[in-house]
Amino acid sequence: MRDTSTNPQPQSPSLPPSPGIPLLKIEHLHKSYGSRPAVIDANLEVQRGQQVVIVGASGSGKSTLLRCINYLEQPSSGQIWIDGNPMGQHPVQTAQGVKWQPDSPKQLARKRHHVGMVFQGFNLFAHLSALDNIAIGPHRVLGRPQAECRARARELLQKVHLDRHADQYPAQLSGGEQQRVAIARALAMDPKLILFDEPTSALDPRLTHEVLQVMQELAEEGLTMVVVTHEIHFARRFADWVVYMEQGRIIETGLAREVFEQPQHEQTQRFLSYVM
Amino acid sequence: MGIDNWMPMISHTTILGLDTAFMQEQLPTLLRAAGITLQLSSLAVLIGIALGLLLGSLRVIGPIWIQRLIQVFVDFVRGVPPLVHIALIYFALPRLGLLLDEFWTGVAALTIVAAGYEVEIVRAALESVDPGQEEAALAVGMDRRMALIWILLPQALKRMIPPLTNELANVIKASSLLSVISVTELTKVGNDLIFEHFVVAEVLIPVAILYVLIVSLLTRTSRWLESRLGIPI
Repeated sequence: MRDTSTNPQPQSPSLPPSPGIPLLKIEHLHKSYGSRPAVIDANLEVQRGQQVVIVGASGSGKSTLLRCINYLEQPSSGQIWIDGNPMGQHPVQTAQGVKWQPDSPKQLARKRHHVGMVFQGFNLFAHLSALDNIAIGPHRVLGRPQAECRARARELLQKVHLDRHADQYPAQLSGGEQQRVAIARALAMDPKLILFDEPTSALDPRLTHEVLQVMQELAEEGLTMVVVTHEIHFARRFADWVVYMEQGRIIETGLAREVFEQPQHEQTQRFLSYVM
Repeated sequence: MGIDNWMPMISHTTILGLDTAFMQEQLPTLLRAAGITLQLSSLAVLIGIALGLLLGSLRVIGPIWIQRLIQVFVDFVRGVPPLVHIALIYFALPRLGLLLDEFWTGVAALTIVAAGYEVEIVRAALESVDPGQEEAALAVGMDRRMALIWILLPQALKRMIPPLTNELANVIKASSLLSVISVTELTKVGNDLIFEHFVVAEVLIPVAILYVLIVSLLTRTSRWLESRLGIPI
């Protein structure tokens, strides 16, 4: 669809060789609220199997950038590609050549289920048990039989170490348990990548550990993840690739160990000196 | 010991000055009328709830022009007294070529009043659900209609019940206004008895009690429903 060979990304050596198209490509993304810019000209590529962490101070635009990826926030301009497919718009052949048209809500929904999302506030469906929180997406969106979806949901609960909590409602679970159910819910849709929006910010250190543990395990299985987090020490262990944002701009991107050991930009150095 | 023994001065058909024999005699008539009131109200309540849920949902997720149209309807219903609605429908429907008898005219009027008030209750309940719920639904690939049906409505339903019960109790009581278009419901039949026999208390006391019974049927049902929807939220 697009020639990406002119824009190679350094890769962590442990990763499998990347096919031509990056799994996620963000091009010249802008997002403003009225006259206030939240994200300014963001460009990023994420390869299949990579774990990318976005760090930066509060208000630096990292959550907005993340939410633009699956169009929970509509970008003001720019383009998002998921596995070579444009998000939020599609090309239409007209007499004057190719024109871009915004996706209808239905088209957008169909593209969105390839991108999982885990929220800071968990956002589990309050009226459904842990099991049904996970099963409802595949059942209602992908139209798979309920029994099959529930069986799969049980496997996923096992994966996040919550197999004994299947019948409990979100209000009966701890924050860490809720967030692990939320991760299982995202996994149930077999997404190409999962976005994590400050997944542990609402949790105490012990519960944070449970959640990060599960994320680490998923990373080892090769799941592609983009994570906005304040957990710098976790980011250091976990990420292949780091993005540092400040005031809506991506200031520095690079291999995690390089950025954390030797940040190139003064702003990144200053930020890391506060948090590490 | 019989009542005649210790109250020999009072006729056995009179208690507190009420003519109980007359009351007993008229009870079947009033019960029949209460049956009509019950039918009217349950039809209006059930169709009203269905309409209220539909319009209330469209008020939240429908295209903007539908949202505006529904708001106009709501403002109209809430701004016009129920008695005027009844008269309007009674006189307007035949001109539009819709010939309904008094009973169904009454059902139509009550349903519209019920739906108008319920739209706002449904909308408020839907909007009280944490916006994160809809975001999470969109994130798993649902569109807004699916999010409404599978995520928002099930959570909003329980919150709607108390205000809906209030509103529907008013609808039941508003059914008494249908006496002006000669629907043979409880108030109309009661009034006729009063003017026929020139007794007031003997008619109005059982009428009042029958209304209380009908309304409590509603409140009990709603309390049962509320407990059935006992989700730990």
